[in-house]
Amino acid sequence: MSRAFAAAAALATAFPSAAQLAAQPSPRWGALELSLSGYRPSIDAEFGGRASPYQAAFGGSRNIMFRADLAYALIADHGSLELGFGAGYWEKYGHGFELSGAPSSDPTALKIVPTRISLTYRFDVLANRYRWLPLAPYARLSLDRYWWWVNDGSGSTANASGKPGYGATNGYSFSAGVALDLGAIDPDLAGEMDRDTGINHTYLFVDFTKSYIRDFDSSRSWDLSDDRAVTVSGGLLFAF
Amino acid sequence: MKIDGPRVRSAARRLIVLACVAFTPALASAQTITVTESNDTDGIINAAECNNAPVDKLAFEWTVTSASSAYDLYVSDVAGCPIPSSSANSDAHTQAFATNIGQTSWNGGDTAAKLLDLVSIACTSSHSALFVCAFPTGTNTTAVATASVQLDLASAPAPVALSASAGDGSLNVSWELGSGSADAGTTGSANSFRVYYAPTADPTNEHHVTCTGSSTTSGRATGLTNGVEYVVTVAALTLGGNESARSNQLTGTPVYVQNFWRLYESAGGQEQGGCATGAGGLAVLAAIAPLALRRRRRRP
Repeated sequence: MSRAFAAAAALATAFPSAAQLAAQPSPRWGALELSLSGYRPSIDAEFGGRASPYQAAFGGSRNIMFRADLAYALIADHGSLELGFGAGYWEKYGHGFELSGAPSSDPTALKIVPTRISLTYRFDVLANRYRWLPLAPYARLSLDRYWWWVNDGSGSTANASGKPGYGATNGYSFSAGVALDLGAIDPDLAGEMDRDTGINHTYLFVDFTKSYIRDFDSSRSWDLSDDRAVTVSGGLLFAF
Repeated sequence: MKIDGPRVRSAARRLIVLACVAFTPALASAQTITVTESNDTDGIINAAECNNAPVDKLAFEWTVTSASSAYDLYVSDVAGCPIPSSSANSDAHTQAFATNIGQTSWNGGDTAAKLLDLVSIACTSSHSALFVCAFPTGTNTTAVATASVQLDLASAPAPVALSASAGDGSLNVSWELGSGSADAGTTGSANSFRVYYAPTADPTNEHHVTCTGSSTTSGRATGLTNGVEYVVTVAALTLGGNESARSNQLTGTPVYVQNFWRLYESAGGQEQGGCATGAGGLAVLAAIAPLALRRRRRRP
């Protein structure tokens, strides 16, 4: 009898209570990031001021680039080290020109699908431990490949002197940013969301990226790096 | 004799339910007659089909909940195909066009033009539907199956062509909806538009492109020769395909256009197009892969 009691007591101490279980976050294994940023490629930089075909066709404004990244957590208990893959979309419409130099009624467009493999370290140890410090700074190294194509007036892929108006340009980029854990606003609601969906944390983030998308300085490739020194991105990050 | 109230009420309820089940077929509403056209598959009789040019033969197929040995098919300008009398439906036009049909389908070569003529619907009228009903042979009061065939007899007003600007081997044409009544006296709604184009020097060599959308006000004629002048007109089409009168004529001449890719190339840009080798990317991938494998091995 005493043995049975001892066994029961051992079991009771070995397993956490229901209340304790409810308070435990679900296991971490990855993250989904949705972001928006302004973007304008540095295509005209190639000409050193001698020409500006991008400016002529599309003007000087920036368009929004959308990205979605899915990451797998390599390390999750000493901060988060994540290996991710991301893809997005960006497009810009403008107009062509007649040989006389007059603007044409024919539209033209540049469309880009940016993809990347990234390695991100997010220092979320303090944010996980202290509600009053819900910030998680992070840094990211990305290998980028921008798939692009140019449309002519009929919407077909353009062609110039036999060269196809589509391709892909490789590069790399560095990012640094900070994520605000929205769970700090209402931890009970965040816990309920974790139990219902497995999402441990929902972050609002902003980051700064320096990109070099020019086929590692190939002389036969254009420059799709952002024309600003640093690209500012923002969005939502779901850690699960 | 003692009457058990609850038992009587229960039995009455059962009887009512049984009666409902037993009489359901008799009370069921008329089934649908499927009408197919020989000329097209839109299920709409348009002005041309009304005028028998082209000939549009109609075929009918129906189901019934309670079979009869034979059926009569009626056509009418009123739903339900009522037989007009001095006191009821005196304005209705209802005529039998096929009788004593020993099956639930009929393909006797009756044209849309013939059926419309039977019920005095003119091809310039504003009627919106033609009704077909199947009755058990010898009766004409309760149809066992019915159909409503949409009529689209009016054409839209001619659009007003606004511009035909030069594109690369193309003309970008814009227009606005016409106003007023069409030539038939009634006005149909534009559902799509046709842009007609032909070389000014060879007007018989005409082609067209169809632009869908009732609110569309621009289209693009492609496959043209740069430097050749073309005459352009626009017509509106209704849902059933009635074509309006042509718009005013415009002329335009396609020209060579430098899209962005051509602009880049002519400025001396070095990008060659096609996919980069991506050797750098493969190298980084090779460096990252061991990290992922290491993490996987650690897991129990």
